[in-house]
Amino acid sequence: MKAPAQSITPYPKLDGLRVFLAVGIAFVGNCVNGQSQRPTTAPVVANERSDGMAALGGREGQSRAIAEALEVFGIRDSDSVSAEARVVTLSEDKTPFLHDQITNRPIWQVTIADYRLKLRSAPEGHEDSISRTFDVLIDPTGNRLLKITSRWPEGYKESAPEPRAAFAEDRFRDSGREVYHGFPDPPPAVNFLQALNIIYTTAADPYDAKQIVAHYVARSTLGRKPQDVWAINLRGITPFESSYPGVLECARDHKRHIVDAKSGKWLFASTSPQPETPE
Amino acid sequence: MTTRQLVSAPQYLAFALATAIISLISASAAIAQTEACSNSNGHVDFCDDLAPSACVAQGGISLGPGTRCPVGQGTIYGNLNGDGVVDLLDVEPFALALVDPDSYDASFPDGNIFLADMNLDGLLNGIDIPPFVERLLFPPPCEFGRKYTFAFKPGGDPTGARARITTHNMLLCGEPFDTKPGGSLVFVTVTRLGSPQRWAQTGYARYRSRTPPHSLTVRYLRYAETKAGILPLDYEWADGPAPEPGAHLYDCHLLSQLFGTWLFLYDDELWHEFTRPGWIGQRGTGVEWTNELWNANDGLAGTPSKHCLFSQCQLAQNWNEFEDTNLTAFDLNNSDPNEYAIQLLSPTSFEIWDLNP
Repeated sequence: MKAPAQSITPYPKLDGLRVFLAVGIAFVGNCVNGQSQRPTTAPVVANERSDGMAALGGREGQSRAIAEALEVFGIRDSDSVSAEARVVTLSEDKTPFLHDQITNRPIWQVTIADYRLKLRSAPEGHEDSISRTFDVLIDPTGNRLLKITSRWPEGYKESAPEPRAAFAEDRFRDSGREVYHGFPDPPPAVNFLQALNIIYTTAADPYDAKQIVAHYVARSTLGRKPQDVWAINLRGITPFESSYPGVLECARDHKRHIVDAKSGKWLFASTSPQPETPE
Repeated sequence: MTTRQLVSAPQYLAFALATAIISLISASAAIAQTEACSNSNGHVDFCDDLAPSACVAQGGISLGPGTRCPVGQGTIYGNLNGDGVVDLLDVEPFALALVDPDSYDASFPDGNIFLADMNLDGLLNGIDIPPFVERLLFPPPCEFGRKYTFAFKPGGDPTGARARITTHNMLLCGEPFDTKPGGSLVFVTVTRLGSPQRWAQTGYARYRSRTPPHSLTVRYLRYAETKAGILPLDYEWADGPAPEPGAHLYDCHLLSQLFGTWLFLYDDELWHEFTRPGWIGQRGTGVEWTNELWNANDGLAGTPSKHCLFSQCQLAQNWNEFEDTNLTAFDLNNSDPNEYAIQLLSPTSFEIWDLNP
C-alpha cells in the first residue's frame, strides 16, 4: 500500500521529477546482494557420514526418523510418498538464533521427493503446479523436528537469496523484538500441512510459494512470553500490491506466517527478514 | 454432429438463485403486487409520487416527474436488508418483500422495500426476480485504478498519527464471483515527502490478491507498514488478525528518533514495532487519514446510509504526545467526487461514503 504523496486531486499524481526519481530509485536499489551465495536449494552438506547410520541408531533410528518426519509433516499414509532418510552434517544453516543446533553435528535428513501440496480447504481438483522436494531435518534422537524446507524448484528465478542467520536475527530484533528461543519438547498439536491449511484459509496461499521454509519453535515478540508456533516462510510468492515504484519486488515476494502450534490460530505475518543489503 | 452445451458457473448460479428465490416465495404465498401510490402520510416513502423539486426538498433522490422518491438507502436497488450493498444476504429479504411486505417491514426495519423494484416499473412482482439475480451475479466489472478519499494535514513535523475508524461495506468489485485483484483499505499514516519517500502506516485491509488461481478469496487483515529508504530492507510489512466489527483505534508513532523505532497500536494495545535506520533523525512532513481503493468500483468504507467515520483524528508532534488535529474543509481530498463523498464533521472528525456502492 502506498502513502499518499500530497494533498492533490486527482491523486496520486506523478510529475516528471517524481517519475525520474522513482525510476532512479528502481535502478539504485536492487535485489541481488554482493555476496557469493548459493541458490537456496538443498541443505549445505559438509559431510554425509558412512558410519552415521550406526551412530544414530542404524536402521531402527532411520525408521524412527522417517516416522517422525511424516508425523510432523502430516502424512499419514507412508506408502503415498517417497521418503528417504540419511545422516548428514550441515556446514551452514540460515535458521535465526538456532542454526548452531542444526549445523556441525550429525542429524537426520528425511527427503520427501515429488510432493505436491494437497490442502484440505483447497477447492476440489485443485493441483499444486510445483513438484516439491522437502527436506525434513530431525535431531539425532530422531524425536525432534529441526526444520522443514522445500528446495527451490528448477525453472524459477529466485529474486534474492534467503538471508544469512546473523542478518536475519538483526532484522528480527528490529521487527517487534522477535526471538526464536529453541525447539519445543512437546510435539506440535497442529502438523505442518494443517498449519499450511490454516494459512490458506486465513491469510495467504501456500500454493503460490516457490519455496516453503518452516520451523516449529518457541518464539516471542515485544518481550512477551514465548509461545510454541509454526513459523512458515512462503518464499517466491506473487508480489503483493504496492503502487510505489521504490518498493522492490524482492521486498514483497515473501511473507513469514506464524501459527499457534497448539490452538492452530493464525497469529501474524511479516516480510521480515528482508533480503540482505547490497554491498 | 451434436454439440454438447455446457452450463457455465454464472448460468448455474443464476438458475440456483432464481430457484431459491422462487422457492422462498412459493413457501409463503403468491406475490401480492404492490403498486406505487400517494398516501400523504407525512413521510416520503414507497407510496409517494412527488415532483422532483418536492422530492429533493424532502431529502430524497428524484427519478423524474411522476416517479417515486426513494430515500434512506439511496438508490441501491437490490439492497433489501439495509446494509448498503447488494449481496447474497439480500436474497431472503428480497423474496419476503415480494410476497409479504408487512413481514418484510417487521423483519428488516433498516431496509427499504422500495428497493426490490428492480425493473423500476413501479410494481413489486415476479418480473423483478431476473434483474435481481442478474445484479447479484453480474455486478459492474472491476476497473483497476487506485482511488483515495482522505484528509491530509501537512506540516508540523509530526511523529505520530491516530484515529478511530468505523467502517461499513468495503465490498470488492464483483464480489463474490470476480477473481480480479481488489482492495479497500483504511489507515492512518505519517508520511515524509522527498526522495526517497518515507512513511509509517497502520490500519486494515479487505482485499482479494492477485495470486492465481484462488483470487476469489477475500482476506481481511490488520496491518502495519514502514518505508524508510530505497533498499529492500528499508521496507517492512506486517499482518495481524482482522479487527472485530465496530470502531477501532489505530495509532502509529515514533518511539525514538534516536533509533528510528515506530510503534503500532490497535485499540491502545501495542501489537508491533519496526526499527529502521532510515527513520533515525527523521520526522514526518504530514499526516493522513485515508480510504484507498484498488479499483474505482471497490467499495469505499461507507455507504449513503451508513457513512465511514474517522473520529478522534490526532497527530503527535512530540513522540507519543497526541493532540487534536485541527482539520478544515481544505484538508479533505477526494479523487472522484462523482463516485465518493467526504464531509467534515468537526476539527477532529470527518466521514466518507460511496455514492454508488
